[in-house]
Amino acid sequence: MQTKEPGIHGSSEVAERVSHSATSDRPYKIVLKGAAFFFGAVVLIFVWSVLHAAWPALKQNGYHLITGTAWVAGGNGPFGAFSLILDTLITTLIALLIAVPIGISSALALLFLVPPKFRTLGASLVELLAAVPSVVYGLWGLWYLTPWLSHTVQPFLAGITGSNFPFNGPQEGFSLLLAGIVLSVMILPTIVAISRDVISVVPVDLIEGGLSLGATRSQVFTKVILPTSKIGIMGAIVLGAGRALGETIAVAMVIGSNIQMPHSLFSTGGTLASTIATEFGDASGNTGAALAALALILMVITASVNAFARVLTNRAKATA
Amino acid sequence: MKKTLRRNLGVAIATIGLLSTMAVSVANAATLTGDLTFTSTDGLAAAASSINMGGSSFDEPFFNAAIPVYMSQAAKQSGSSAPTGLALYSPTGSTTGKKNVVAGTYQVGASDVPMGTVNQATGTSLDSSIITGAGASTTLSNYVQIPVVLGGVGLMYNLPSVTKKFPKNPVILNAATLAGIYDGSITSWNDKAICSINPKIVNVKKNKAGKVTSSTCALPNTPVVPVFRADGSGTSYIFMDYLKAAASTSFAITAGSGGISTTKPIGTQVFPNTTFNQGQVPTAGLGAQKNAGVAGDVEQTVGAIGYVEYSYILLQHTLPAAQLINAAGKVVSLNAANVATDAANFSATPPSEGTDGVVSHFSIVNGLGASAYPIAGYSWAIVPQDFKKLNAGSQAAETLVAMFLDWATQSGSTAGQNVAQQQGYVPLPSYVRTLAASQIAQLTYNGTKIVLN
Repeated sequence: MQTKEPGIHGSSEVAERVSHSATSDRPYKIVLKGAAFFFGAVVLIFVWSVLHAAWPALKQNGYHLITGTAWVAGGNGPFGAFSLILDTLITTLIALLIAVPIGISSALALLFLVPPKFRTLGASLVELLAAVPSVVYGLWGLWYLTPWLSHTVQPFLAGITGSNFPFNGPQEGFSLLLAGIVLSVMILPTIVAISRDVISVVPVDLIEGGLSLGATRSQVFTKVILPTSKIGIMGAIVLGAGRALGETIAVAMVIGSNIQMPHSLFSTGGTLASTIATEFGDASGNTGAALAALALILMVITASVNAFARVLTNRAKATA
Repeated sequence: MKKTLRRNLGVAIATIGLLSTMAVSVANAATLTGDLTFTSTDGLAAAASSINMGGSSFDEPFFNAAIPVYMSQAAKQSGSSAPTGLALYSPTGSTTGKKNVVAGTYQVGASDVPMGTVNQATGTSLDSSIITGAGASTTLSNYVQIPVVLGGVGLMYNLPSVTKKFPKNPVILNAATLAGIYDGSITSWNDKAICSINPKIVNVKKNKAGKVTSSTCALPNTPVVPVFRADGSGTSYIFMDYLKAAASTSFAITAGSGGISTTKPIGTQVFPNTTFNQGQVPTAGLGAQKNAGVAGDVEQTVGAIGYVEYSYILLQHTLPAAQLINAAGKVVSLNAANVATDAANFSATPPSEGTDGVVSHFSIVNGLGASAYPIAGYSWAIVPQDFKKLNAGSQAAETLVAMFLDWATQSGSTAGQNVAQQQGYVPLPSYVRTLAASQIAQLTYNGTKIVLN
């Protein structure tokens, strides 16, 4: 059913041997250390320069930068990114709600249901989707999904709730909902590929044990495979969320770029990343600094998401 | 097993289908992709000898057409190969155009609003963060501003049912209804204010004798979606300048009125501004990037209306432009002659540049002539006055810039203004061409005048 991955055994001994190698290797070691130092310096300079650029806006707006709801670009503000942060989280949440169930199911299907000769084809299709540049997803959303949403999906959803929350407001296609849908397609390959890898290392003995005890296929999926690979799948979801949070151009093309407090899933808005892309050319007043501050907020959010993913994968390694 | 195979084949085919539709959509959207590649041409700045031009997307159709024509004419004249170094124009928006010429990224930055424009009400400069400073590059008088094109701003709208039924009667709007649409107080196309100025767009019922028994407004109950520029834009400035001049009382930017969200308190407003209404837009509004983005969003959305430069309506898109009621109370459509009439109304006070580098009298909205189309403006090329002093490039580069702009602002069958006319712009009036020539004559390299040959 699956190939066993050769683990790196005794990697610490290898590391020991490499670091105590002959003196003729010294120039090589200097180059390596230099590169590592250079990399660290680049990271520090990068963070410092974003902070430096954002400083005037931080000084001007203080904590209102995060809690304020007024975003008045093209001058000296005020700059409050609360609605941008909300929009970023809402679109990512919509994307996850759509992509996670579909992604995990596809991963299971690719591993266990698809006949072996089509598995490589399925896997390469997933990789192909992952390699599509985001601007292409944006165009697809703009040209095909906006009319579909405004003519079909939005009237249907509004019909369900009787035009009440969360499906109230203008049906323009461009919306948080559409941004979420486009993001879900974009993060789907990430979730499928990683959960497939994670599920494929579930020990065959466990699966065969379950089957031999008379469990049905669905019972094996829900009681054996998913619990065993739970942490890895969480990692896949978090990585998908990371991509959705930072996605810029595809979102800028479909979200409507009208910064306002979200009042419905149909409302237009702007995420942190899409607003930077839309307004970065603005020269007046503190607008540039405020956009740098958005970058800072976004960096903090994505860094914490990645740290969370790191903790999960470490725990997965420890339990494996 | 067979069943699953079939099912999975189905999935595979569906996926391939999905991918191919995406490929098709890319081909369809060729006009849009250029606008969304933000930095491709900026990267060329590293090449020392090349001349980078960019900024206003109002000017993009002109520069894109004019640069190749100039190159081929120059090649013919010299009998050898075309001058190298004129890179293609990148439509990054007026605000970016100004910013990048100060930053040294562009040798020619284009903007629909001259640099250093001061808002009369607040006394603040629109470019305070880029041109106030001690260095030469942040001093306004170290740049020359050259008018390059004159164009009209059209209001394109997407109402397929009306356009089909009344192909010869484009929707008529006036300053008050436009202000209402863009401040959110008019939310539907069959609003009384719009119906009352469109007497020809009506459903007429006749009795047997052929007598009209009733005539009702035929505009649909479709929500109005005002599309605005989300990025810094000179086109926004011209449009807001018009609203301020023609509908100052109705275009009130006060919190809570109409559809304007009360959650967006007004900051220190500079009006008009290159940022549309500084974020005070109706909740139903759609923000888009560049002229092409506005045109694209209007095409995608039934009920949408958006402001774009004339050539985006004339050459690239299939939607109609609204007719406007001008200051003389006449219904006018958007065409080159009517824009020229509007500009001619301001010939007594032509645009001029003071010694401090500030351009005055550049606003030409809401002209009084009977056939004047009221939303129009000049667009400006901003060039460092002395390439050596501002470290903007070589003497050869500055000469090439001067010669190109000199050609671009001249009339005549082989000169730039003729190319502009083909693209839907209006040839510059003679007094503006005189200004352009005197501005170009100010260019020096290390203190020596640039010789045009």
